[in-house]
Amino acid sequence: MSRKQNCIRSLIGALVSAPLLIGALPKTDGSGDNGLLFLFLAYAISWLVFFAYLLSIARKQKELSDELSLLRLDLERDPAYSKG
Amino acid sequence: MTIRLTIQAASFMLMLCTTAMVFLWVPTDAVLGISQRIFYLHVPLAWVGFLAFGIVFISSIAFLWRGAQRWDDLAHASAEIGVIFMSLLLVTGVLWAKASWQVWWTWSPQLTTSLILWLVYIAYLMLRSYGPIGQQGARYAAVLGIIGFVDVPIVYMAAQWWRDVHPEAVIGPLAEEGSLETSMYFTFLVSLLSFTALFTTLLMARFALHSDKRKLDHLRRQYEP
Repeated sequence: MSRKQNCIRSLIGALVSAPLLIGALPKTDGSGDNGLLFLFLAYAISWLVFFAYLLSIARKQKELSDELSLLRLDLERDPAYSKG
Repeated sequence: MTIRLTIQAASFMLMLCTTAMVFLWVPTDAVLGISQRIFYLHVPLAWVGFLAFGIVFISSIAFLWRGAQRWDDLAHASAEIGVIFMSLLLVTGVLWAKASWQVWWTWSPQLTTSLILWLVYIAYLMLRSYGPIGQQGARYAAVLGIIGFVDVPIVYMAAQWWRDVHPEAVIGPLAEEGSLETSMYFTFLVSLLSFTALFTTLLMARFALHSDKRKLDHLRRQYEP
């Protein structure tokens, strides 16, 4: 299964599970322990998103660097290119 | 490379410092309770989101004026990161709204204009992905990036212009003096600094990615005539 299909599956999973998670959240006010839960969720979601984004940039950067060095190598080996 | 590493290290250290200050040092708000600590995440996300769209605005003007590809790359990278910050702003806002107002969402002017801003830059990214490729697509995106920025001052001024459930600004030029306790103000400033450093780190990495992709395309064109 391709990476794109996996992303779409994850997105659908998140959309389906979101109402269940929201239903599980407390229905009282935001003070005390409930406030702590919302605080935790806000920070946890933000850090997860930043971490995932950083990982995705690092992965793309590595793929590009690998491809770039392979292509440079091919160009150097190609006699037609060497002659200019 | 050294500047990049320095900013990355500073960003990491500042984030640790912010987390410690938010959870261990700053006092709990007497009215809003513990959920008020979302403020140290929510407001810097907004400010850095505005900064990102400001960079899109300036880079887009520079691209239309000078035509240099690096300005377009910078605008694209900044828009992508700005959308991430704005998305998190909306998510943290929804959570804080539920904790404070007992509703997930209300069509308050500030929330509505923030949602519009988010949608405008989602449209910008969709245009970059599915619109015309090359210079024409870049020009369309630049125009959208410039027009979209008009919403930024509206979002900032919304709470001042249309008073409603959303609190007015407690920091910045519109804030009343002494509206935030000293320790809270200090924590907020450190948080703002750390998110700005994080944004800079992400922007540099994303910009480098665009640059490498361009080099690769150039080499491919050389290799496949």
